[in-house]
Amino acid sequence: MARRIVITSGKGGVGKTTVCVNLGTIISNIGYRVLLVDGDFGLNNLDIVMGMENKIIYDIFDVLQGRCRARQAVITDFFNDNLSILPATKFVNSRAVMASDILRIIDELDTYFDYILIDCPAGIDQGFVRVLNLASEALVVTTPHISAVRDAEKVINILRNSGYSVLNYVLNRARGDLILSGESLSISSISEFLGINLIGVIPEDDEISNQLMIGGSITKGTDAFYAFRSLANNLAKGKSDIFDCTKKYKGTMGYFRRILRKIV
Amino acid sequence: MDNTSMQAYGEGRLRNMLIRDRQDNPQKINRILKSEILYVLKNYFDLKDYDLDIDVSLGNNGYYHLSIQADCHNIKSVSYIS
Repeated sequence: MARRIVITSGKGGVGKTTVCVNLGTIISNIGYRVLLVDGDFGLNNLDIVMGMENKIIYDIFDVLQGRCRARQAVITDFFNDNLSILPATKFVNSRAVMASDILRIIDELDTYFDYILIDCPAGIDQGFVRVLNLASEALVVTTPHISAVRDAEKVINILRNSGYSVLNYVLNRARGDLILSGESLSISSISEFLGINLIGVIPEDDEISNQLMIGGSITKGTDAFYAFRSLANNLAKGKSDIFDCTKKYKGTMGYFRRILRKIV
Repeated sequence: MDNTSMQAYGEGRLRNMLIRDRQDNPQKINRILKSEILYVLKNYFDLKDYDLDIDVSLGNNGYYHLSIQADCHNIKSVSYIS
């Protein structure tokens, strides 16, 4: 049976889809078969971040309408046989899609994959509730901003009340220079506020913006890549190696990097 | 404002927000809980809405305290209930 993980946040724009794609890519590179499910009906963009927007023939709604089988709607990455996506539709009123229908499709695909990562829509309304019953493990994505942490805390409460047994969080877009200079919330205080395990820290990195423009996975050797690799190892292999986003801003050279970053 | 106090200020703001959110929860729960408990108790007691007092509050230790108190002038007879 596949390990199903809902990737959620509450607040929009914190990087759920980016985390979903890069985490899925690296886990698939380890050797696991990974399915990324776009749970955002009407505002789907998982296919765009993956660079697969032109390869979609069928989507979840076509499966629900009986126009194809679930397996036919799954698109496998051109460069990576272990990585696939199940796209959502952008033309349908999301209210037409029922939670039980999606669960049926996921159950049908379950045997083909080791990991199923479900990219949640932003917010805590119907779209979010619809994907709640698909898994019992969640990865909450937040940024070190007050509004994002507050929304993440609300989502964590809802997940707990919904019976989620495994809850971890990822701190995305962390600025090591601002954390060190005290201009950002500290990682320890965010962990204290959220009250769940920190499983990864992803630094703010131009490489991720480039990836979003081109589509596909991030370039090896960048800070973002190492951070996602640590996250994937923590999740898939049970390690506890958190990427240190402050490391390159420590010491004399780090001090100059901090000044330079402020000037630029 | 220097950087250290900026961080402390931000964390203080967030802490206050989260506490307010939690304090807001019991009031909403109170309303829902009261109507449901009243519905059940009315099967056994002659109760009016104002006879029932439910209080859910957040203690300093982070635990919620729940108290239910009701005054009624009549208990329905067993034969009537069954």
